[in-house]
Amino acid sequence: MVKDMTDAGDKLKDHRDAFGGPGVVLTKEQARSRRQRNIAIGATIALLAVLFYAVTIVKFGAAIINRTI
Amino acid sequence: MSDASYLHDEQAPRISVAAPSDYFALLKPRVMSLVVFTALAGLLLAPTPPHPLIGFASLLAIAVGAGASGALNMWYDADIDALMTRTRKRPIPAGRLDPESALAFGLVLAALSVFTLGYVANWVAASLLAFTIFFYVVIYTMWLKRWTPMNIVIGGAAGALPPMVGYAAATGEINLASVVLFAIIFIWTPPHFWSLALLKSEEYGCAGVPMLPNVAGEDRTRLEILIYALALAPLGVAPWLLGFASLAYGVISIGFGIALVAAAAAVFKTREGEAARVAARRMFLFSILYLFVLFLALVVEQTAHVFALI
Repeated sequence: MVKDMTDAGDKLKDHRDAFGGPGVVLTKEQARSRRQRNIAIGATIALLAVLFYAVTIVKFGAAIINRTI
Repeated sequence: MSDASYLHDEQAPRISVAAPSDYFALLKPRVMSLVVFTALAGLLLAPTPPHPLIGFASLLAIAVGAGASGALNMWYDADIDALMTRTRKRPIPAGRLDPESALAFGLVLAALSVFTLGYVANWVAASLLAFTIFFYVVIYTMWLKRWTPMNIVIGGAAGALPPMVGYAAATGEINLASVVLFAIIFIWTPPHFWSLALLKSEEYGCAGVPMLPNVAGEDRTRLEILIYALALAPLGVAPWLLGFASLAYGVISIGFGIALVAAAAAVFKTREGEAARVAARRMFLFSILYLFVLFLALVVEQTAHVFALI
């Protein structure tokens, strides 16, 4: 597996040498859609965190402040 | 030649240009809204309604579960979706999203929705939601849909389960009222989809989906639509007769039930030309209105009941 990864790294280096570029370059459309997807995933995870936190508080109810310190 | 050629042509990395809206389309938002609506009716039937936040989170989990079913359905049916005008603009056949992404998206959402509902509400509701997703994806989509013209009859159970899931989310059990709501949607589904199939029978035929008009003929389909409408009309009144809906609901369900049977009778009698297509289209659209009005009446009066309890 390590050898495969090394080979892949060599191939990428070959590509850079051959084309003089940085490898995979996203088009404007690809970059825009990736950014949109990242924002959507981030917003969804944030909302889920808030939802789970709020639901946990509700499920605990008044007992949440009744604890030994 | 350099090994760098692996980055080109068919070996080049596929970089998605799918927008969040494409993933949202995978969820079948219109179906999802119907699921939320019917699940809400089931949830509000509970003798003691849940905390609003618990109710909201439960409905959200049910909606996401329905969306996951839609995504997995679109993943599996991408080949036949590409053959029908009604479905060929969906994200996968349109080429905006690759099938593997849709599969991963659907599986993740299915697991997330079931475990969320289990945590937020209870594991009875979560089990029912898991069964609903399994039934829709495996029993209906993978097995029945391409095999038998009765696909819609049996597969309709998946679309009928949300009121039971909603009720179970609020109470941890199922009762007769939630089973009656299940039965209404279950009996409503075949005449609704067969009306559509009468309009789109050529497309279903081209795609190789054995809908009733293609297999048993249009006359048999018209008869089945009428029989199901005759069964549905009294069943729609059952919530009032069984005492968990008001007289107002009873009057509404009787009126709309008569209109539904009239629309089905028009489909049965009118068999030729444009008039036949108009009758089928009316039946299709009116069946949507029928179900919407019945569940709206239930939701409105149950909401009023909940506010009266506060």
